Amino acid sequence: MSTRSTRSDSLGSLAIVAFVVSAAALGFTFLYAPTERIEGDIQRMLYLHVPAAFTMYVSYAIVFFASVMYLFRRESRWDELAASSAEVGTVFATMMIITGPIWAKPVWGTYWMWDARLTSAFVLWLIFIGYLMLRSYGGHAEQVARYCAVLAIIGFADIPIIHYSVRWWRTLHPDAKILTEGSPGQGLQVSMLITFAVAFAAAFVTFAVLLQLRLRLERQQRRLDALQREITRPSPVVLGGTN
Amino acid sequence: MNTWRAILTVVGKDLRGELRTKEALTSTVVFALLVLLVFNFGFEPGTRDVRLVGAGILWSALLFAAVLAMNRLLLNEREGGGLEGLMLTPLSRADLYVAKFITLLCILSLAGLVTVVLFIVLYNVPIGDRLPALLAVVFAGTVGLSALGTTFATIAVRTRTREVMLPLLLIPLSVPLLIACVESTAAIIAARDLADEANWLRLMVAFDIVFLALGYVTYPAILEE
Repeated sequence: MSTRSTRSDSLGSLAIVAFVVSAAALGFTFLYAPTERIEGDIQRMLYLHVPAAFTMYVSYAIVFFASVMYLFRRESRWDELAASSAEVGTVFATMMIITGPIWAKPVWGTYWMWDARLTSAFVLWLIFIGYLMLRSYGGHAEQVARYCAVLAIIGFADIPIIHYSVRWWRTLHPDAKILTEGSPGQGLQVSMLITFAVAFAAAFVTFAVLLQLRLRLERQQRRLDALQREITRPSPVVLGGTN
Repeated sequence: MNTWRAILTVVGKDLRGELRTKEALTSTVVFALLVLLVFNFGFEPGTRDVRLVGAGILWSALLFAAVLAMNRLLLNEREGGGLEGLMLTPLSRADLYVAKFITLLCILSLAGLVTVVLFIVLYNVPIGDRLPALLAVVFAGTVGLSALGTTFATIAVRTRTREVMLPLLLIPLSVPLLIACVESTAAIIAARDLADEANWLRLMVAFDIVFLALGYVTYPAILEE
């Protein structure tokens, strides 16, 4: 009992850290970071968009690792980790997919371009969605765990292939190379870099908190399912009961 | 050697079953024909447009028809308890992957051949002596689709949503293969030098090998019941 309460205490303090760092990131983004000369205020989207994209990749790496471990060890804790990381990762991936077009419209003049980076991120997001669908409709828990692990491993092997294929696809069409190297990274001022670092920290700590919370929910859900199975299992006591 | 004979026995059994009903094959070809029909309304056939969008149309037809065939084959298997029966044989589960892959490849290749001919005739594609090259590209694409399809159709028919699940899982994963297929098909239709497309041909072969190997390794984990 005491270990559980210390665990939730540490999660609580981590949540406070996440809140503080996120608030700081917002403050840095809107008050400290300078307005970009060409793009104007919309460039502040960088501090939300890029950390979200990186967090998505981190979460996918966790899903892959947990899936491999699950197939080797067959311990349900690895499946719990994969399920939780995929779901939280999808939140960040969706954030990336939504903030991208909002940033792109005023800067590129269009919401969407089938540029290499956009296409591969979009495809990866779709793989995440497929993964979550398989989780919801895959059947009983142990079967879902195996199917999802296979999907995660095959999907992970696909990421570099997707990456190279869309790059070749777009370099073969030189007219679409308007934006190959996007805004981030090039000639960022020091104040921008600091804001960027704080925004990254905010994304990662928030991810860690959400992952822990989701993991706890997953464990409780599984315990509940196990208890329910125990109750509904016909036993002599119930059959010869009071009614 | 013995393993191969056993695998081919399973393939022979599956193909005989398919040839008796022709369920997967007919539905696939007719569906591909319908896709060709629908796309035809989008532009004037026989005009220069076909050089631009022809490859995309052909691969849309091939892809959607392939999804249909995969679902059909594995759903029959599921309902008849076929795979469960096969799991009782001395064949390893990874070998069952090979057998199911070969069956799927045979049926999709045949359907692909018919679809390509229909495509050339209906869209008046000036293909000339480049037909073997086109068929080779279609075959390489079919190998990759079958490699992934065997895995994910087996998964999909065991889920609650059944056939809806397959395209959701299969299409995003086959994006690199589809790009490579569409690009090289477009080059063949436009009579461009295939040497310039070497990257795409290499990508197709790499994709086929990677996902055949992964399918072989992971299939046993799917079949545990």
